[in-house]
Amino acid sequence: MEQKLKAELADLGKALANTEIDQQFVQAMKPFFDASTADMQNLSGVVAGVQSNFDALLKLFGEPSDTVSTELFGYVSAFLVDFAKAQDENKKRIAEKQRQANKPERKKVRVMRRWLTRQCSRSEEADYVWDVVCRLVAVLLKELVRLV
Amino acid sequence: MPHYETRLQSLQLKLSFAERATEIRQLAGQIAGAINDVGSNDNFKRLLEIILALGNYLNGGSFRGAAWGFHFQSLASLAQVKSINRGQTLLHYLAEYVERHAPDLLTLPQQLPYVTSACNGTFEACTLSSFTASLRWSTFAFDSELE
Amino acid sequence: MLSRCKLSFEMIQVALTSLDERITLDQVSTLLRHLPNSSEIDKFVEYDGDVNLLSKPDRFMHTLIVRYHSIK
Repeated sequence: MEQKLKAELADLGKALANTEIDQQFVQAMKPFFDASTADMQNLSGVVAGVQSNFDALLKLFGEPSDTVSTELFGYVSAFLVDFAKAQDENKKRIAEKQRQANKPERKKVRVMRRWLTRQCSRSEEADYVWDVVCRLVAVLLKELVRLV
Repeated sequence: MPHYETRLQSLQLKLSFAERATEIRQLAGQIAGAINDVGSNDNFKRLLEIILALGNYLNGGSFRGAAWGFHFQSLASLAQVKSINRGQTLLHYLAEYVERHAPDLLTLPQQLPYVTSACNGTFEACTLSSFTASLRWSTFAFDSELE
Repeated sequence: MLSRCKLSFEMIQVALTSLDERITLDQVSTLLRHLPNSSEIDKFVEYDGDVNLLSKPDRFMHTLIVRYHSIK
């Protein structure tokens, strides 16, 4: 990227140095050329700095010197993503285990609820209060099964 | 038509230079950020130490390798080493261990934003080696700066 | 060439003389994609008749090529 830009700027320099080129061209291009040559130098400095930091990083970790930045950071970021995923999977596994452990409890609650429902429907007195209490308890038990 | 083409190419450069320079600068910044994430983040180093220790324990010895004891490439193998009983991998075990003994490292992916953004293919088209001719550091003695 | 690149004479003229933002990057790219081919160049370089007898597009091409074609 940087190399290409530098090369194109160099081509412009050559064109400006060409004696046959017209003054109109020179007038339109020279200011741009001067300003961007300075910019380019600055930019090349920045890039060289990053390159040298990267080389130092490779050396620090004993990685092969021809490693490309996408490779190196690719390994690390893939690992980090997998690491986060493993944490999630652990959480899910533990939650599932807990659910399994509570299975007998849940079964007990379901059985109680069914018994209660039968009791409620057998009631011959059509006792309003008893009916309401039955229904309320049945609902609560249903919730309990879900939560356990 | 050299002059015609040259004129057009010069104009093209003039109109596109600023944007291209900005793009290069931004990319350099991202890579610099990633270098900092990997090389200077203490938490990341701690995690690497834990992984190394884990490897030592498993192997009853040390990994073969260079300064840190292993290459980044082998980080990938953590997810591949499976346990017999639970179909879990070494990575799951690592996560469990970290949760128990170093829970502040659990959020490491979020602590290293530049490296994680490498996943989005930011680095794909523009690697450092396309910036400059890749510097060969074989001119430096390998051992000179190892502790 | 003019029909290929679908830009007006005025546009091309502006591009070549002002050499600034009066023309867009896209337009410049289009022009670069459709350069006059060698037969067109030869045709106009070798023409030694009265330029005013040429059609408007041809006259434009003639000016373009003669003016900006370096004879080396």
